Amino acid sequence: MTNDLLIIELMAPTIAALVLLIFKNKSISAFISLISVCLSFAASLILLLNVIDGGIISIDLVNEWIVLPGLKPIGVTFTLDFLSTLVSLLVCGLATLILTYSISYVNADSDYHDTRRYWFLILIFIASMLVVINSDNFILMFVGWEGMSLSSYLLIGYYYGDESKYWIGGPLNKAPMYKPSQCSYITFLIVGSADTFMLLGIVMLMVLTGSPYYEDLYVIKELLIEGIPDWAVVLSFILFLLGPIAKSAQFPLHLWLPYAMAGPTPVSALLHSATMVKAGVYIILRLLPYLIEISHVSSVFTLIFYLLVVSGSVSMVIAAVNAGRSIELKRVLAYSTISQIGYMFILLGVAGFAEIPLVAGAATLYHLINHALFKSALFLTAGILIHTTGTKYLNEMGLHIKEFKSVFIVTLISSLSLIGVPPLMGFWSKEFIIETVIGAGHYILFLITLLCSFLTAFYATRMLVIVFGGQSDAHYGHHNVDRLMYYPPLILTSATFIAGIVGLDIKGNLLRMITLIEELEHKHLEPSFIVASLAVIFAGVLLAVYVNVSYIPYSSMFDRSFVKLRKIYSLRKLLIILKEYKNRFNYRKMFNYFIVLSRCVNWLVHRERHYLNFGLVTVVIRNFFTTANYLLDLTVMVIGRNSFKYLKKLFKAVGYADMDTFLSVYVVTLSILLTGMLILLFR
Amino acid sequence: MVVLELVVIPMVAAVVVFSVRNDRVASILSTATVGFLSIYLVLISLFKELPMVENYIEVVVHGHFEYSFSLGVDGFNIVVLITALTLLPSIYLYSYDYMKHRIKDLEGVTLNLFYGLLLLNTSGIVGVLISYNMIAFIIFYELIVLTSWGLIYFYGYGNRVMVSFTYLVWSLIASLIIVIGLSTIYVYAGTFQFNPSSLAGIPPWVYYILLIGFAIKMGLFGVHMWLPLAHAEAPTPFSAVLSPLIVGIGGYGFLRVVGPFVDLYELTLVLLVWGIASIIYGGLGALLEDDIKRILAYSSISHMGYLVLALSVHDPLLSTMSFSYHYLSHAYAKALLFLSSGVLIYALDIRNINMVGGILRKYKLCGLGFMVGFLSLAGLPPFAGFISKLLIISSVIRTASEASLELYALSLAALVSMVFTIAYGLRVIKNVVFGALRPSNVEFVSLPITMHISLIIIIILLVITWFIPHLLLNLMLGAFKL
Repeated sequence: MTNDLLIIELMAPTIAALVLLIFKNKSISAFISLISVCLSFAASLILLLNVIDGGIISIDLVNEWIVLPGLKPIGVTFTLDFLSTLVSLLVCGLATLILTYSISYVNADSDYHDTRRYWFLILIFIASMLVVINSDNFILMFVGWEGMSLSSYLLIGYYYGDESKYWIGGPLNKAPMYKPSQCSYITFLIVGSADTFMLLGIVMLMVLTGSPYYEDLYVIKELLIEGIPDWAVVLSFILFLLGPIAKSAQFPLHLWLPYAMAGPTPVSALLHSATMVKAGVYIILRLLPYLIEISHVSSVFTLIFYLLVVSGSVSMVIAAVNAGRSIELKRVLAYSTISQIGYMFILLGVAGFAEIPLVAGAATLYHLINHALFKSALFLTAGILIHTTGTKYLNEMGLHIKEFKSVFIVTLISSLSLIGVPPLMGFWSKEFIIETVIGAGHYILFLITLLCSFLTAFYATRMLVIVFGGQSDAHYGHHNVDRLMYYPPLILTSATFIAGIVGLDIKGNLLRMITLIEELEHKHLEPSFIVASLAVIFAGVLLAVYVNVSYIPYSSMFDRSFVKLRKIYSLRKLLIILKEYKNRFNYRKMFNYFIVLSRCVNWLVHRERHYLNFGLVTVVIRNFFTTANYLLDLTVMVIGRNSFKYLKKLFKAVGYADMDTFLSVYVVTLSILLTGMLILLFR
Repeated sequence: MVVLELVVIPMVAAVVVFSVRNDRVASILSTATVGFLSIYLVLISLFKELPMVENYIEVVVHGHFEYSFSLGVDGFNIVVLITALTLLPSIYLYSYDYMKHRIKDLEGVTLNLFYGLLLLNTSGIVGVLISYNMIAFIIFYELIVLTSWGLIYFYGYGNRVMVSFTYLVWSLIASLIIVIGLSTIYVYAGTFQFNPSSLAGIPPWVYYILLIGFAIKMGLFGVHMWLPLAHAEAPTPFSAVLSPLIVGIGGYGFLRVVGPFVDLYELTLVLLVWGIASIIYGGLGALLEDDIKRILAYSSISHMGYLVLALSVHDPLLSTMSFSYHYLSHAYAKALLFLSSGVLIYALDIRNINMVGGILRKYKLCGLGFMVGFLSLAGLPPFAGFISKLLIISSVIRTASEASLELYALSLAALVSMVFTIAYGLRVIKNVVFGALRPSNVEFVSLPITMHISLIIIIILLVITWFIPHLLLNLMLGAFKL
């Protein structure tokens, strides 16, 4: 029964992807893909009900797929528990909604008539994601992982013709613009390289434990006690973690996510905010019990958790600042995604220091679900906004609230959830995060979280104010939006809203299911922490309104009072400082070592244009290569061309034609060889 | 007389093809011959008990030396043979229209000469792979060199006389070195047969001599100068044979003669370092070139480095598994890439990747070929490259972790340099497959059906070999007699 259900869940998208290639009709292919995803959704729902009581189901489809001597055979095997089925349910549910949305989005596209490519890739993505979630061994997981990378790469490059309206970045002549093909290149260069490191780490772990299965990671504990070096284990885990860090767009491999916005908006909503970028978080969450068990034995192993914390907090702050600076709607959301995943990484890192580590795991899962809901809603509305106004820049949208009531409400509620305003779901997850961080005794992390809350409030409010700050007679609406596109974001937002009201129940259930402890003694957070966080949020909102006051409709009414405020509190000074900080807070300048890395990447990316004026490293590499190549080519000349010339002269002198020349050269050489052999034979 | 036919059939067919004047008949005949060979090999591997060795001419001279001309199929060569013979039919099929197009620009050469030489070349490839003794090995190797030289000389591009001569000189130097090494082994062991047990007591310098000889054949870093020239200027279908099959045979030779049987720390170290150097140099070269065929040539240097990594493993099973599977995946992918770039040359007469773009619009299959080929080289599922990457990484790390710390660090460095493949592959895909349609004012001719069929066959092969690694590996493991 569960076997069949799992097969349905995994195979429905795959088979549909292959079937829809036969039909050229747009609506038929959309219909097929939607049906298959609904099937997956239903199957995952039933599977979740099967394991809701804490059971674990193992399923073996193929026992021996790759057999390596000395290792357990690698099979196609799956393990279903609460965590995996819940996340697959989330993926399938979001996929159903977003695919519904994308029917009209993709069909409206005039440049790309053949939509089969879109459906094929997105179905392949869903299947690979489900494989990653449900698999119980590293290799099968990695297959799905690479499948995700591949489909993401091809979906970002969906508009491969590079028509100028699909370019991102800019605005034109002010900042560099990037074509979709370039963007997909950059994305896959970073993610694919990190995947190679991840495979390296996986194989190192496999060689250590002698098995590709997660459950055999416990062997490492005994090995460490027997005395294998710590650094081998730590190194392999660090290499492994580079994969999740890149996939979840965390520092220092976060550069690709803003470029990924070149893809169609439903793709950004499904892959690059809600599901694929969470795969990194998920896979660490899956391995968390093993990581913690190992860290009990080896003290060096805590390095892993520090790595997670540092990576998460740095990317959280950097991305939030960048989100406050961006002027493209989707870019703001992309940076916001990086920042929010930073929270999850901090939680995963904190788990190494917490009293009951899996509480942090539950908090991560809670924030993962929560973020998936509101961020995909935000992306879907962003798609509607971009489609309606025909521009992707915040300041050119200038919408009027009255004429976009439903869109405004959806965006508002999702943004408030992102900021963490009670009683929305975002507030409860923020509270849970703070509770976990403080419970582990990391007050510095609490301060960083506060800073990030402030920045989040700032950029979310700024986005809202600028987008919906238009005058009523503004010119827009040269595209009509299909009614079908309004429902998915509406459903997602109402889920956020309703779940927020019953938020505490979800938290309790998650805690019980993840930690598998029935009666958790519940430590209530001191209210002062919550108050502090709310105050910071309020300050962020105020600052955003203050800085962008000129965008607010009827702002002339407020203008005078704000001018007064400025005079009284001399906030103008603050504004000047802020503007300076806007220019100065450029992480490329801040992290000196990072310049080299980013330039190397850039060098690979735009070799043609940039290599001449780039830094030392690239010049050295380039010069080394040119010199070596020159020398070697010289050798070719000397050996090849000259000998050719002289031999030709020689044979011409004897009187042979060209063709015969070569045959004779050959015969002569061959006879020399044979003579040598004969001499050796009868020595 | 089961194994001998693998060599004799293409030779006979070559003689027939040389005498046939009709282009169509010649191409159909030779394609059918190679197709038959591949089916024949599959039947052998399915129904015959492996390993299978046959001795043909047995000579005893005054009790002074014994010699038998023995050929056989065993675990070392079965997967490599399957690779060569499954790949070649589609290349033969592809050649028909491509070479007819090519011959228009040339004078005094015919299509049947091309097919005849290619058949002799195939016979040489198969012969080298199945030979069980040094004499047969050398003779068939020279057959490959001679016919390759002829194919480049008659049908190549650019300064083809110089290029073919360069290739010839380098190959002959390599042959000389290999012959010296093999004869020394004969002097010490007293037999021409390839026999792991006869390697005992042989001084280590012989292995290094052999390594240098085979390295020239493989075009490893430092002795690779002939390789980009020959690959870029050879006629494209023959590049698809030359790059993956013939160059890789150098590695096969080393595997057969020395390979995993010798447990010398220094040799392993040299192999690892040389492999890393080749991977990095080839990767950089492929990144910095603009000519698509030269990019593919440098990529071949890089992938020969991977084969050397596989050779550095001195567990015979692991080494052969990873070597054979990488040979297979690299051969399919690289042939696919060469045939796809052949489409560019056939239809647009362009080789510079900066001058062409948006191919996916006009030639869907060609664009797909580029993507599948490069993604398979980079080791992504669902293509055979994934399995081979996994096999190489796991076998190298396993051996290194048992040996010493330096080897461990070196092998990690080697595997990290795998990133290069992703970089140059994506660069070509970005420029050629994606982007706005270029060149703008050119009539895009439609492709002949033969090209479509051969591209589709290779793509299917790449996907199938991802699904069934266990069948091939079990076949190979069953054919071992160690």
